[in-house]
Amino acid sequence: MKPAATFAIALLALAAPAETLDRIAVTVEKHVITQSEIVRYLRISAFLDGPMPDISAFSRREAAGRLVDQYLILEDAEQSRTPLPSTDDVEAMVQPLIRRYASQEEYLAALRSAGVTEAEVREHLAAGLRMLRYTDLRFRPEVQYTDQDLREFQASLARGSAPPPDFEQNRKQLEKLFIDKRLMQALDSWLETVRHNTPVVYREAAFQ
Amino acid sequence: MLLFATLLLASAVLGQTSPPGEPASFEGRTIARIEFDPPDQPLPRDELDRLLPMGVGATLKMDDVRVALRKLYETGHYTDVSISAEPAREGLTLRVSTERAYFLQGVTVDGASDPPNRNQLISATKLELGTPFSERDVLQAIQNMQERMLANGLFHAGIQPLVRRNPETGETDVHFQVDAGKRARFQGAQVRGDALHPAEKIADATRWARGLGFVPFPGWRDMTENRVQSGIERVRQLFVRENRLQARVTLENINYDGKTNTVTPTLFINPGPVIEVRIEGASLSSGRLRQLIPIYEERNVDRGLLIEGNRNLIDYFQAQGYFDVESDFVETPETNGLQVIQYIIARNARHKLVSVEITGNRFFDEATLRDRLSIRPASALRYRYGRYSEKLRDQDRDNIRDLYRANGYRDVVVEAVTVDDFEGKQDHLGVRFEVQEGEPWSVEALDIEGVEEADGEYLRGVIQTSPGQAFSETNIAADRDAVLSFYLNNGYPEATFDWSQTPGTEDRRVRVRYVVHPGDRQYVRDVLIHGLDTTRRSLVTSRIRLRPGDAVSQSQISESQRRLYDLGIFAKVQTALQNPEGIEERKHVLFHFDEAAKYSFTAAIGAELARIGGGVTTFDSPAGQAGFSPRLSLGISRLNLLGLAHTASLQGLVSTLQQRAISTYVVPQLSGNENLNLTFSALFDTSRDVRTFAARRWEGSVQLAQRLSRANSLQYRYAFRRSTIDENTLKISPELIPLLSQPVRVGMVALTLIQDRRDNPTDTHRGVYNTMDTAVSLRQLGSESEFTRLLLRNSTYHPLGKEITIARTLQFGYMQRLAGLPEIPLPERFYAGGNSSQRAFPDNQAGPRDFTTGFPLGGTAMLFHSTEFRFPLFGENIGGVLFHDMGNVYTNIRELSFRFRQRDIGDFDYMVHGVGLGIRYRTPVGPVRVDFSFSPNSPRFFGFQGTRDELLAGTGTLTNQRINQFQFHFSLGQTF
Repeated sequence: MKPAATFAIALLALAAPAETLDRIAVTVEKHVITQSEIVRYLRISAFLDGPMPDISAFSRREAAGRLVDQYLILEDAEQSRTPLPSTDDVEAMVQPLIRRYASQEEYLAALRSAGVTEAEVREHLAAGLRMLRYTDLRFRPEVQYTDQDLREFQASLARGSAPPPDFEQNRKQLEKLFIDKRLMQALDSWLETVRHNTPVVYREAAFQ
Repeated sequence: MLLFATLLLASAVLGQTSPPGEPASFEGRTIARIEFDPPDQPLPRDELDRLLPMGVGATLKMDDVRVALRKLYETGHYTDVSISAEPAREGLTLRVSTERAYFLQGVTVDGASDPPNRNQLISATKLELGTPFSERDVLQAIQNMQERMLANGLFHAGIQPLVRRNPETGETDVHFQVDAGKRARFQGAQVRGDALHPAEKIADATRWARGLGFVPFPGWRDMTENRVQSGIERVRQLFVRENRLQARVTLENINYDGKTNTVTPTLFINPGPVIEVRIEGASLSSGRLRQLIPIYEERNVDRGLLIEGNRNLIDYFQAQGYFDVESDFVETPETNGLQVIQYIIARNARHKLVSVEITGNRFFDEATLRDRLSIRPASALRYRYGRYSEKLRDQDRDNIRDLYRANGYRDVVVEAVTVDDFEGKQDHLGVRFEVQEGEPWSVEALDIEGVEEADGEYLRGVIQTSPGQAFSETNIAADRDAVLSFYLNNGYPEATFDWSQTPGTEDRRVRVRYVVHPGDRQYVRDVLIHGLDTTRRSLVTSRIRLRPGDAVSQSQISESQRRLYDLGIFAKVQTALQNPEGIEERKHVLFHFDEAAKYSFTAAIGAELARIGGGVTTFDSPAGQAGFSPRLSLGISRLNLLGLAHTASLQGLVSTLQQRAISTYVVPQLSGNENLNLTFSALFDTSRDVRTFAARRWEGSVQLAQRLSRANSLQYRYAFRRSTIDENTLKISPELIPLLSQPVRVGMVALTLIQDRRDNPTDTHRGVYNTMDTAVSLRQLGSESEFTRLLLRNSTYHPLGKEITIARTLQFGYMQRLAGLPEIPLPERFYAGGNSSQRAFPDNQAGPRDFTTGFPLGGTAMLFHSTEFRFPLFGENIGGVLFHDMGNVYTNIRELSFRFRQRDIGDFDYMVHGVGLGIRYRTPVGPVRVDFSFSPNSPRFFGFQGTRDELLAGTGTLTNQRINQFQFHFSLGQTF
């Protein structure tokens, strides 16, 4: 190689800036959530839900909050020995995703384009499924209701609209909606307590 | 052209920004260097390299970067970490940027106004030694301290924190300077709710107003938390005394008036109903009722407590012999402020437990099983009706069963059968424990997994489970403790132990498998010492048994702590591991000291009630008479002199019998050897505890005490003393006065060997206690009288069953004059008799006596032997002793005799016997002792009736006297 070329390459190498590979973004007790995990979470969410990933500081901060909640829930799921989803369970969630694309190659290309791997997507889905199961096992026994509760719930749904549909005909659907709502309320309330009692520290440098 | 293109490209690269957390192009490139920023890191570089999943020469993976961040954070030594990369000539340079964490080194508080005292405030901070520290902790600590001070009326308190960081060790020292301000005073009490009493009475009950007992003084007391709480409790007691057991008195708020710096607490009172507990079918004192029905203690009435009270009543009556007692209760609802609880008791016939039998036992003998029983058949004194209840019987049954199971008899069945009208006698009861042992289970094989070969060899030596031995879960639990303790003491704090069993090749044979996960080993990085003010550091370090590089051993930390406490100069020695949750391999071990106060003062008053010799000038009662001697003692000690843990002290004692001042200088753990203690002492003593004379003594001595082993110790001693006898106090024949009243100097070296193998020195049941004391007094040592002295003691204790002990002791003493004065001086002779040697005599009254006055002269030989039969007498705390004492002090060794009879009135060289009964009342400091002794051959002697002048003039009269055959002794602790 000519000396000038060597010099040019060396200069290029030296001129390249130091780049932060990764950093601690949030700590939850002794658990670390890194900046790259937040970005990966945003990319996977975008891949699953459709829109382009928004990795702005605001989005990253919101995603960090969701990852903190996810950690708190999965930790409690681990403590309470909530079973891990099986490979089949995860497969059942992945298949509809693949079917969105014309072919396997197109699916893999979409993964590459989103900057995520299939393993990461599966891991993400498995975590979500375990959280759902944990929520159901942990809080479902607390959700008790009467017909009157369901009727009031139906009335609240139908408020301001046309006459409410027949109660008995829609009972199952109402029950599901009612239970889901109560489960989410119970989970939110539990999370609020746990967040309050758990030291969570956000590093501002990770959200600039 | 190429250069231009390169610059253009470089400029493009410089302008490029990868999305945060998404480094573009470094993954897969070779790592050429790893740097830390700052270069001075809290962990050694080799440990950091061990923690990082990537190394120089490896290719960069983003997953490794994430793991590295996680690992570094998990060490606990960092509050923030980021990793960046930049291209270098040979590849990539990784830069790990860190912010270090700090750990608490210690908390100090100055300016506290007790209460709360310094230690209470330190405790309130909730800052723990060695734990990660953050500024938020200081704010929380101040808030906690302020709460404590507010609760104690310190409304104007200010707290100024001072945080000092030590980057070298990563420690933070927090000091709080407190300005307590003036304490608020009470200014009355507001009452809300249904008080039932006038507000003045409630306020009086709080005792927040000044006063002494029931005598009121003007004004109010200072507010303290303790006074607030005790005031509330006193108000509650006001209602409890009216049987309003559920009365609730709560502190609603405390109104503070800043202008007058006074507080007025508001109490909310709910008196609740009057609770009346009635007993039908039996009578019980109200005190016993309060003891048995827990509603009084718990201050609450609920069904659970009433059921517990019912059980207690049944147990109580069963213990009284009403083994068939039935009891129930009825709870009536509250009416007009009254709630009645009625216990209905049917005692039925009174029984007597006359027999406790055990059948079917082969592996254990009956004595072994009986040792585990708490039921007792009736005995004449201790348990008139026996000790029995169904609860106790079932507990005993379970104890027998557990003993068998612990020894491999897993199929054992134990039945407890109670037989009424035992052997046809009405109301007699017999209990039979029927044991069906079954066949023992044994261990066929033991596999231990997860341990190093050498450790496994050691562990097999300490664990109880082994092939061929009985299989028992009790042994396995003990093994678990032994294994975990071994690992904990060898630097493995996270060690775990699991076990499982599988059937063996034969019936009742089990294969046992132990799985041990030692976890990561921790080593001592350094030992950090803080809190020393006057104490020399070398004194402390020489007693800490941990050095950098050692495995972190909890037992060594505790042992070091014990050795430091043994110095007696520290009020508190705290130990901790820095960053206890961190995963780093090498840990700082922290020792934080709180030095004790430099000076300590003691003062005590007391009195001696005993047979004390007659008056100073009169010759009455040579054998002593009951007397009373008040005493006052004062002491001052200066601890930790020169910062070397030396102690200087001065003690004074003044009583009508003795005046004493003693000054000592103690060097503990001489030269760091915890088995050596050196003591210098100087003594001045004037006493007349020997009735014959009053002696004045000046003495200086030096003693080196050496502990040879747990049981054996040696004392080397040199003493020099000058004794003067006040000849005006000498109650002996006038012709002997010039000989025996001379002042005398004695210089003596002595060696004492002590062997103590007793199970409990204050109340021994088993063991041996031997002492040998030899001394020689020589002219070369400054002595005017040359003699040797030998004192031997041998005591042995033999248990008979669980509660009976045979104890015996032999004491032998011998003195031999060598040269110098013609007689061994009076103060140096043996004097004995009394509650610790021969109970047939009053204190120091044994041995030869003056032929004219009858006062004891001491002897040069002595021999005593005592035998005691110690047994339980009444209940759990009162025991009895039957004893026989024999022996005497003899004129000299040649006159030592076992003869029973006194030859004539001038013969004192014979064996005096005493028999008697003693009572022992067990207390936490040893038994309180009362002994009554009768001597069939107590000595007779001539006493003198008259004054000193009459004695000197040769007038006065001789009278026949005798040591009272009945003696009474009162003391603390067993006789020997």
